[in-house]
Amino acid sequence: MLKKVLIANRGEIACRVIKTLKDMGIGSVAVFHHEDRAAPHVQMADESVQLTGEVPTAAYLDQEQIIAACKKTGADGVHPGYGFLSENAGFAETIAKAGIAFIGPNTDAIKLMGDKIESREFAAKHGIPIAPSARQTGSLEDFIKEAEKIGFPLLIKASAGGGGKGMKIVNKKDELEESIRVAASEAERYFSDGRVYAEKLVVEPRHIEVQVLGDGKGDVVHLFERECSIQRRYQKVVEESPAPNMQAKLRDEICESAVRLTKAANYKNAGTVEFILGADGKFYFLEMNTRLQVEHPVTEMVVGVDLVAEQIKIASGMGLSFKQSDLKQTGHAIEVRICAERPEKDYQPATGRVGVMHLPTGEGIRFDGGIKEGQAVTPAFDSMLAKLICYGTTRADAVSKMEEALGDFVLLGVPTNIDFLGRVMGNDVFKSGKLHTGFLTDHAEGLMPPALTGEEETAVISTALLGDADFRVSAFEVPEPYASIGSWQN
Amino acid sequence: MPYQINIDDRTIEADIVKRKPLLRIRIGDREHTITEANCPASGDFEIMIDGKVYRGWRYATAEEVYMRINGRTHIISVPRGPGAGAGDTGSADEIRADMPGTVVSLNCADGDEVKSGQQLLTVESMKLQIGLVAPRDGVIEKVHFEANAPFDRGATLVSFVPLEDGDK
Repeated sequence: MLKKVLIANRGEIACRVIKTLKDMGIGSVAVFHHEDRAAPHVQMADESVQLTGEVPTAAYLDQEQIIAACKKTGADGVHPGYGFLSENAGFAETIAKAGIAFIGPNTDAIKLMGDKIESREFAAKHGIPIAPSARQTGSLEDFIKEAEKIGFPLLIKASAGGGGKGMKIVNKKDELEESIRVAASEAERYFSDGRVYAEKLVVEPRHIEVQVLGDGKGDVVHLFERECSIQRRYQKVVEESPAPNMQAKLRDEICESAVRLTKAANYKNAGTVEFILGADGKFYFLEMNTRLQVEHPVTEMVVGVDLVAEQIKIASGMGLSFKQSDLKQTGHAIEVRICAERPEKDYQPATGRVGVMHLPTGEGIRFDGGIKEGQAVTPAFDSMLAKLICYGTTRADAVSKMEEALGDFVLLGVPTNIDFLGRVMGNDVFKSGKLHTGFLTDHAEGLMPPALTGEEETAVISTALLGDADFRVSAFEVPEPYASIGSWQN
Repeated sequence: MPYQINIDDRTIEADIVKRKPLLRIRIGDREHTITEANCPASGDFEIMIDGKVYRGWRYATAEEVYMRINGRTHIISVPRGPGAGAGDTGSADEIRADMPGTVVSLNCADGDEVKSGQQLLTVESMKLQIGLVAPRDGVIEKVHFEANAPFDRGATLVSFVPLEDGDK
């Protein structure tokens, strides 16, 4: 078993990993940039090492400094968390060469799954469904013929693209040729690369992913699925397990596909296989994330497993702690991502300082955070501050618990999405579990903050005034004979 | 002279009507009696308005007051007291940065004629790219930053030729 683990990360995920290290009796080393010097992860860890960088994020990406920190503290393992260096094959290799255990997959798996085209072809080769697509290899006429075979509606996408640029939805055959021309010319303009490809358009898709664990020796289990369809800016904000309204047969098929892919890759570590699920029940491989996911707590709560502990055991060469038949889903868990942002202004990220914070508590409520009162929220890092996870015996239970917990969650000093998430929980369509990735866009209007009632407005304005120093002077401290403070104790 | 309070893009006036025996304030065109008030600038508060008790949390920064009342957070600009003047931050004549960031790309130049809602530049803050649009039809007087340039919160990014001179 590893003796001391350095966490090459910050914020809530660093705290999350340290917690398990403490439970397992393993030493912990935090790294931090000056801006994070008072952050919770630094205080929680047994030891800490300061990293320098021109900008704060550069410090957490500096491989040389991280390896030097391992050597200095005698850490024999590195947990990369998510983001930063977690899917950097070069980093995994460098760590291994230094004789330190990388708590993650081997470099081949990172490289394979990091390449979108290669991983897709790998999945197809092993019988995992991928969305039907066609690439232009010969003449335009041939490409049109191939694209037609996909069926309509379909998407024309730029090969070099992203962010929807150069993307066209084609609903019928006679629009196809013109759409290809327009998409190719846009692609040329945006990316200086006019190559385009056609792909089946999944209407109202759901994002379903499967948690897997592999020991790198061929033993693989899945820990069931998560539904992550509630997204904004292509980023998840609400995740849950199990996926609502999913038939057992479909769940088995999806989970079995994920296991097949993971086995084929001889995968070692925790990983997530992501799929797109159409309304017709057909699902397609999207990508595999070769690391711990932000939303891993919902799986931990319904399966009753500590995924970080499993990662550490696997990295220590101990294999998996359980067989597939030992695992089952019990109850329902929902996670929301607490972000510093203004949902009513197109989710614009926000900065400030955590001035007042009171966390909701209660049975089945888990808070994974890396923030504390007094901490500045700066533009240097991601806008996600923390995660709130609620567990219930049923989905309805978990949703109402979350709605209540969000109502009890006080975080003042930086705009957050807490109230917005509360309105999502209260939305009837969300409650019904009819989810797809366009949910937040479709329901944008109904999720806006309701207008203040007259009474609320009076309370807000009175509170604003009564706590204001200037107002207090003129209301209470005007010398006699003009006024008296009377029974006021302030 | 009344206090000016900006809430949900409206400005509401409030004023002290009477100080004794009990504090009476006017908000908009209605009067209210405050019978209890334990209300620090930051921390938990308890106030009684017209006989009803409100409890919650309050936190004030130099510019804004954050309040948590009945499971809902309200953020309003600090009330402007008598004599504070009616200075406004930003106007339809300029686009200011809400937070520090970097200019990713520019879609406009000095002298361009633009339409309301037209995207003028893309900026990046907290790893997110945001398109900033023209607040009104008009002519760009000056683009204050080049692509890749960093800017601070409150910086003027683009200014418009004021409306009176806007007709070219």
